[in-house]
Amino acid sequence: MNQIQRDLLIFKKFNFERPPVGVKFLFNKPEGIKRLNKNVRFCETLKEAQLGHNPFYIEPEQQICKPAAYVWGTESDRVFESGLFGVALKIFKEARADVKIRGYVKRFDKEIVRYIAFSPMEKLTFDPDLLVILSDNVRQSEIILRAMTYTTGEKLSSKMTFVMGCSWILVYPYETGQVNYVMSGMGSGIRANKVFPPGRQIISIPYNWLSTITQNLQGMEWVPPIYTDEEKVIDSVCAELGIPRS
Amino acid sequence: MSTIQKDLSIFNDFYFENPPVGVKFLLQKPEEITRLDKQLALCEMTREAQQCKTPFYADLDNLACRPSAYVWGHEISGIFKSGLFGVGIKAFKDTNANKRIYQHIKRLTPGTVNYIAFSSLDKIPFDPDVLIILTDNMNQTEIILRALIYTDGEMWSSEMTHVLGCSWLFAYPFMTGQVNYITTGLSFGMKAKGVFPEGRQLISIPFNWLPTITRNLREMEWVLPAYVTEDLGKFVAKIYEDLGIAPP
Repeated sequence: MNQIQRDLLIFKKFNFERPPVGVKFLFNKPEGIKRLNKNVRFCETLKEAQLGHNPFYIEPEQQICKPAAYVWGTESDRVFESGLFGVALKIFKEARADVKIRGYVKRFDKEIVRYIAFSPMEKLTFDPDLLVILSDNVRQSEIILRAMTYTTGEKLSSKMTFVMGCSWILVYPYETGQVNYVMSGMGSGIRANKVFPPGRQIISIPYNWLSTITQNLQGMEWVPPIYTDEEKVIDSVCAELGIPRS
Repeated sequence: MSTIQKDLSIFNDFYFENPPVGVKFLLQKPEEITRLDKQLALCEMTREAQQCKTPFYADLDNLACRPSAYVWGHEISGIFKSGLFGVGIKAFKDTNANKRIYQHIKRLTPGTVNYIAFSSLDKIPFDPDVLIILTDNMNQTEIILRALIYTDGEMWSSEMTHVLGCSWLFAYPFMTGQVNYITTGLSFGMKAKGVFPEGRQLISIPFNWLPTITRNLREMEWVLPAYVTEDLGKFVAKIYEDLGIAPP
């Protein structure tokens, strides 16, 4: 077990219903990991890793969601880029709104990522580029996101488009280095395909944030005293700092 | 029913557990609206308006949360901006982290807002600067936010800081003109005060987005066919066929 795998053990304390998933974007075929034996949509790869118990990798030809091919940077039919597909699905009134969305979506450059490896956290054999967590409730989400801001004062920012939600879970955090979280149930494809239970948070932590977040999860109080007795804590802090209590 | 109530009446079709709240930022004391008769935090005033039968306004003397006076555009003790308070309440490990928060947050322009008026949607006597909606579930959130993208292809962006969550409900949407939404239970102060039920969304719609969103809510299908079709594969295959796309 290497250092990052040891660091990630702190996430076991959450007892998530579904395990966090490590993701690695690769140019070369990964060694010691099996190819997934079926075709899936891009977003479904995460569910497969959560429920499938073993690491695997996939190649572009196994990915069957055509709009997601655009996100992966593989061949994409121009009809999707024209916006007509979004109108046919009744998501957009006119094609121009769908076209505009593409200005926001992050995607990989063509043929830069030829394989993507996935693994449930406890079976990780690689240092993940990204750790994707489906929290069971907002309390877990709050603790994880507070661990990001506890020593950094970072803003909590959730970016998402209604279509191509996979971009915001997988590509955006990796390419920008920003932690992102999205609500399950709010992306059209992920919702229509019932990939995740609705109303939860999917938190994507890129590699550059893993040390800070795991370290803070080790050090901070998961439930600070103010959550259980606000009045008493404010009284005490005001007295200590010499602030009049309003 | 006033024109503004008529325009916003589409929101009645959601049958929200708590009514949407209109907020107006005012330099001058509003006429024909009574002053709030207690002290509350800014976030609690939204809940008060959800529950209150009549519109009200608040001035600075009504404000019970000192850090949120900064969001309102007033000066606050350096103790708060120094980060010592945030460390004291264990929101941050050290003062540097708390101090950085002030680089992110938006506040109302100092000297421009002496009063803030609140009203539940059904009683609203003014054109709101911001409409704040507490949704009951993700379905409602999805419909409202989809009304934002239906004609405009906008990206969804939820911006907040762990403390001073009121900035992102009130000041940020008003000052930037951007729709913002935050998930209840993620904001430190609101969670500590138990202001809203956890795990829902608070959507803040600034005045400039209200015409587009209400018009789209009237026009678009609230439940997309793809969500309710019995065979999603067949449904998508038919669209592929219509558009001349090869099947996967």
